[in-house]
Amino acid sequence: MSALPEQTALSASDFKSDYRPVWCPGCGHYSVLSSLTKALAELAVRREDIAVISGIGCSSRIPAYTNLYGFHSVHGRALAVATGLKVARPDLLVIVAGGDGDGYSIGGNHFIHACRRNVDMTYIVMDNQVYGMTKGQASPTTPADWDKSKLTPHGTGVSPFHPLAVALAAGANFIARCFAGDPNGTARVITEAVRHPGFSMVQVLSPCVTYQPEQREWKNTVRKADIVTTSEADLAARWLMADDGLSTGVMYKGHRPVYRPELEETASVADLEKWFAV
Amino acid sequence: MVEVRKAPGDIATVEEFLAHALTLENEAADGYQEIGDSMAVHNNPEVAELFYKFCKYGRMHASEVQSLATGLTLPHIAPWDFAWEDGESPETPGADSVHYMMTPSQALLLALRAEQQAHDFYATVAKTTKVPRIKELASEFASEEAEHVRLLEEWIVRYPSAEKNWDFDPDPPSMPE
Ligand SMILES: Cc1ncc(C[n+]2csc(CCOP(=O)(O)OP(=O)(O)O)c2C)c(N)n1
Ligand code: SF4
Ligand SMILES: [Mg+2]
Repeated sequence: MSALPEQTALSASDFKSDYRPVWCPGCGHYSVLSSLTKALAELAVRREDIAVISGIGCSSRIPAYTNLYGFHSVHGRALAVATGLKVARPDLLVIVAGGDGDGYSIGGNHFIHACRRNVDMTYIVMDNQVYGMTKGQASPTTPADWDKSKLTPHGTGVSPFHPLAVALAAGANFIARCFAGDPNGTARVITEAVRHPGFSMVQVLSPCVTYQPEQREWKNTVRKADIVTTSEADLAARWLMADDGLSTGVMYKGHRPVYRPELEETASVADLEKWFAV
Repeated sequence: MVEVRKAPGDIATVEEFLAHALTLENEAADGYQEIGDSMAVHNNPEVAELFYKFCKYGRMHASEVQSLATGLTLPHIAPWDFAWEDGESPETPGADSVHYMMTPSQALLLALRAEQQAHDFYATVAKTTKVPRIKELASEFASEEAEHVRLLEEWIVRYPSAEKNWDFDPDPPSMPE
């Protein structure tokens, strides 16, 4: 994280807006909102120096529930918008947030290249292995045998996407998995992710109680990984590939070069507006 | 990585203890407020009302703790550094077990669990601390929480328990055809 001016003593609730979330009662996304606001309170950054960028989905509504600068953008395009913002305004703390559908289906290619560019921002994916907002279709992380959607009555039949292994292979500099049922632990990891330079990937297992009600069981099956964070990508890769996807922790903190354009401004905003006039 | 968490009995000063109590009450109130809001948004006004009531009590208790802390400087503790036994503040209502059609009796049971956990936390501190003033305060808070548990138990018997098909929704969130 670049050196940002510090704000004194804001509490987590100071980062929440007055809008009442429309998420289903029991949805894991509430807890992610709480973790994010707790982390921001700990980071003690001024509200006006933070931007939360999202795509589309239940999870992507999160910017509206914070009182920070935010952009509820286009489906799958949050990382493209956030990259542009961070490159143009490196002084901002940029958080990108969204779901597994938004990030790995329609946004899959942006995801790979955002990891590869390694711009300094933190990407929080609220992974419920389903498209919650559009009423329960399978997503890239849905298990192959999940047959609860009428669109895939015999399961998807295809291997689930492995977001953390892909992020590691593509060049992300920080890789972690958290659980919405552990909001304080998740807040800690988000804080660490923001402080680590480069592109930080934080997958949060966040139950969709409406379309994946069996995920309520995660509170009994998700556990803390018995690992020591490594800076060696090959070790992290081996560990990730052997894991069942239900272990939480910070798996990798690398030293990969962060993309920071050093270019001087060559045109004013007024000039740009002239060139793009329609 | 196995994290080593501070035990409740290791809370070293009165200031640190009050910082725990204040966070416990504030997070309980915030949790009730959030669940109340989600019930209001999902057209369950009766249960929303109950959660707002619990929230009001939580805020009252927080301000009582705040007045005990007058003149003291409470330390800042990161959310993950509190001496909570399972990492989360013990009176925070378990948001993972709420449902948009939940009944008042289920809401009361949820609050009962939260109050019981708060009681257990204070009782553990009282039993294991070596600081006399912390012991005194923790015992006092534990008996207050025990009183809340008793009141909730009385309240619960006045409400019918949830019927077998309490979550039957004639117009459920649809699955795509
Ligand atoms: C271009 C475009 N295609 C499709 C959609 C429909 N759509 C809205 S949200 C969504 C999936 C959301 O799933 P996810 O990102 O996992 O979020 P969740 O709702 O599960 O939190 C889809 C396919 C859209 N809004 N825009
Ligand atoms: S549909 Fe699922 S993801 Fe969307 S708000 Fe409801 S529980 Fe959460
Ligand atoms: Mg999803």
